[in-house]
Amino acid sequence: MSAKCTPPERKSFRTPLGRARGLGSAGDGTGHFMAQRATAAVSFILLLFLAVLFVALAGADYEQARRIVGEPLVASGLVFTAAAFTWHMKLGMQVIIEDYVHHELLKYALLTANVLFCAAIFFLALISIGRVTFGL
Amino acid sequence: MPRREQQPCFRPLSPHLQIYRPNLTMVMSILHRITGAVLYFATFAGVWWLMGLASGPKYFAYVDAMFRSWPGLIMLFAIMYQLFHHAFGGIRHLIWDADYCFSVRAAERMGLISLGLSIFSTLAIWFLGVMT
Repeated sequence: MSAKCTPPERKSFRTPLGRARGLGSAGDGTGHFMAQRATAAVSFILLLFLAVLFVALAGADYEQARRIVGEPLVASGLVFTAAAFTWHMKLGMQVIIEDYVHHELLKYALLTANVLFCAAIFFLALISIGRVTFGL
Repeated sequence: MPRREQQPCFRPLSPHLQIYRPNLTMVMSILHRITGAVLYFATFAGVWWLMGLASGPKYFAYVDAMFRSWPGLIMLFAIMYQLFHHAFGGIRHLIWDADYCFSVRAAERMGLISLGLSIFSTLAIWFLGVMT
């Protein structure tokens, strides 16, 4: 690009400020920020639970693994983990999409896909844990 | 007049990534986002294992064999490291959100500590798992 800069040709009589008005803050986001931090803190504690569970499951065969995961405390912890992780994932990926995807249609498509993916992961975890716990 | 000169010129709005020499806090910040994005998809591995467990001994044997194969173990190790990296990196961000440790020294030190803790935790949990 050359050094010589000419101001862009004006295509409308609206001032730059007038065009920018209403396009800035969404007037919303504090809830997202708070939820991201809250799910982060909960997820950290749940990660310690996952670490212990990983060690317990590492040497387990099918029957043992099913018994451990079916334990009410473990099953509840896993459902809690799935909920916290998927919620945090939804919030985090939303920020990444909003940061990098500027094509409107693609952005909303990806934002929707994000919610669906996180929901799918949560439901798959929930149903699998439920099936192990209730022994169906 | 050539057409090009009539187009609006795109002057740099603010300094961005490519003009900085990488430093610890910057690299940790980028890695935080990358590990977050990787872990997002890695949750499917965990759910797949749970689905295997729920589906019965035959399918579980297949899932289990996949996880215990060399590529499976390498993937598992990588996921575990990234989990700890993102978790300890996240603690740093929570500390910053609470308005602490903003000095360059403190920020750099936290970066090193979180890096050390993630490497230590990964190795500790991995070898505890291998031992049992």
